[in-house]
Amino acid sequence: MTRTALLSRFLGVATLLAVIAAVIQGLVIMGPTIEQHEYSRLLVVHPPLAAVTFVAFGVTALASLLYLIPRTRRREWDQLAGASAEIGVVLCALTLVTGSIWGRPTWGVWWTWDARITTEALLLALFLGYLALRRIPSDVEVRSRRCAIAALIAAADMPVVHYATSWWQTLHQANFRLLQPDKQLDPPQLLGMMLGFLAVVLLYGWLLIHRFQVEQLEERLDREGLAQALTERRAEGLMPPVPAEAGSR
Amino acid sequence: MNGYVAAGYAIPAAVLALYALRVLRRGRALRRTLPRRPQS
Amino acid sequence: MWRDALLMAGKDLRVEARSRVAIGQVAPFAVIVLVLFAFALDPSRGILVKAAAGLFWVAVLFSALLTVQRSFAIEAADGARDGLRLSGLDPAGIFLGKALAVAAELFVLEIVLGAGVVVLYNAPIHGYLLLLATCVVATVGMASAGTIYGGLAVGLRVRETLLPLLTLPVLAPVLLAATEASQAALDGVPGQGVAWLRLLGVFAAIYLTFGVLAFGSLLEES
Repeated sequence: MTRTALLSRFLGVATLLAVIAAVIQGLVIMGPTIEQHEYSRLLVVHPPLAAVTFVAFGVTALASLLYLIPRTRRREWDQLAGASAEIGVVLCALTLVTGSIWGRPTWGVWWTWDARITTEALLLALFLGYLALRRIPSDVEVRSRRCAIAALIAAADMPVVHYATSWWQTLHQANFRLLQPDKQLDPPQLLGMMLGFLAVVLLYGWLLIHRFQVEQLEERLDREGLAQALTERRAEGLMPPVPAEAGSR
Repeated sequence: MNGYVAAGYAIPAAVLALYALRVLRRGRALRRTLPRRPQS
Repeated sequence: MWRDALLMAGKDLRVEARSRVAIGQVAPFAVIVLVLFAFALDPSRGILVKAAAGLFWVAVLFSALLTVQRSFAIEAADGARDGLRLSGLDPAGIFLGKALAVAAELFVLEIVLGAGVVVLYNAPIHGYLLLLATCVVATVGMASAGTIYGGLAVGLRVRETLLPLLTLPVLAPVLLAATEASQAALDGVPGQGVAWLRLLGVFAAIYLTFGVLAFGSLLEES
């Protein structure tokens, strides 16, 4: 087995184990807390998703930077950026959904203009735009460079957005319900959250490997598929017309 | 069990599982369509 | 670089002067947006006056999108982009020039919209200096960000829908800060507004920097 396949197998198994452990800790071992009753169980799900979202987008930003710098430019960086971004978008959307699910019973609202939530929402919008940019058919180098720039702007924007929205939140305090301040967690809660982090991070790693490979394969398909189609077209001129193969795209 | 907690666990699990399957399936389909190439 | 920028800005503004798109189409659009807000919100309950600052900036934001679209649409015709590339102008200068032209057009639009808000919403104006400063800095930020994304999306057939999707999330914090600063000016508490003004300055600096650094690679290809 190749090294990558081995790593993927290891990560896959580790992820499954971590997920099982986290779920058991969250649903069975962890008991309801005084402040949050049953909902503290969501500590295993929501904060880990939020954290790994930032990891994913961070990887995208870093890979984009490496791609833009001429000395370190390689196709792999752009492919990595794209793969990580897509996973990041999925995680980000899930973060917002689980946050909403948590918010409804605890504060009575599906949404609040808390700084962190607002920042995550804007982050989602920014990277949805990034993904839209990636889908545009165009020369690979051109597209990669545009996406890389978009990713870096999004990343640079984030701290400022967070600062602006937290300030905005403190000004309009009356309307916002503040997220539970990160107070001390009891050991079972803490363990649950940690297991959740572990599970999501491992899953991210596994997904990244496979999504990265898909990205590479698609690029190869574009390159070689085109070459193949050209060869076929040329060959048609020399041979009686043959029902064309269904396009490889 | 609490409905919200159940949803909070089930939705991410389902979405991530479906996404993982999608990625794997795309990979498999691409490997099938691509012409054979020596291991780099 | 600056010379090229002024050259570029001059060219863009001259095109505008001759075609009068910003004055003839975007400005009326902006005023119509103000009217739509009045229809959507009950004018008799004083919401319009209270929200005037925010509504003003939302209208400006939409106008900015149109202005940037227009700025790059004029390059699409007759291979003008190739002409730009071959002209030997410094790409950073091209960026600054285009952003400058967009900013100038936006500034004029803001004056029109400002008058619109005063007249249509009965909004009183105070804190002129802060308002003016806010307008200037926010406009620079919007123009820079818009020009970067305009350059990103140039030549793409989906540009009309892609540009708003890319630009608005990035401009959302500018809207936030500009509204807060303007509101502070109107409320007569400029001290707080100045802090928001500084944030606007940070945004403008970030986007100007990005634009100057990145526009070269955006122009390189088609």
